[in-house]
Amino acid sequence: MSAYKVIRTQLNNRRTLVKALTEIFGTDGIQVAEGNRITLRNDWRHQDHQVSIAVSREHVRKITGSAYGGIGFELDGKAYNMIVDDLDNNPDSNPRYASLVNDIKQKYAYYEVVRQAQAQGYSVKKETGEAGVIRLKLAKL
Amino acid sequence: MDKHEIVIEIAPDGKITGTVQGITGSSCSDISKWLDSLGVVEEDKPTPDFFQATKPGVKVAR
Repeated sequence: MSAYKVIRTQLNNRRTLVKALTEIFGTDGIQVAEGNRITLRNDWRHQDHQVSIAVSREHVRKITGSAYGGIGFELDGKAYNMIVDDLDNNPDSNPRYASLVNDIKQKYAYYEVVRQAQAQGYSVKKETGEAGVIRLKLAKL
Repeated sequence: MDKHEIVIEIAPDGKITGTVQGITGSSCSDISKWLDSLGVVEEDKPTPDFFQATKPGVKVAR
């Protein structure tokens, strides 16, 4: 072992983000636009948010059972900020929602690591990690 | 470039940990540089192997 690095994932790649979301919500579950042109509605708070990628509340509910709002991705410079309702994103009251938010982040990170690793010429082997951790071994052929 | 392996772990919250294995010296920094574009680097530590000489009999000055 000779170097060790910890990275907080940023949602930088639009195609990878859409790929991760499509796997979770299906192709009809997400709406995509150039720029922040989609209005993410929150009927509960009567607060709207302009986003570039949106998952409707109905599609979120299919997974979590309940949700006050949908999930949006606001383009901020080169990265996307995930927009969620505070009432939904409370692990104590809605653990399934918090788990879904993590699932989106982990799936994005997985697809983006694989994409970039292959672009660097690495072969990628996926292994089962402990406690929900995805473990990848990258080697040059 | 020496044969090496990078082990990546992706936590349930998406946090990425990368470890370069099988290589010594400063070249491992170059090898793992592409990982930086995945997000914000919170920790970047060379391990003791990093400071080993890349050639027998040559020590890296510290």
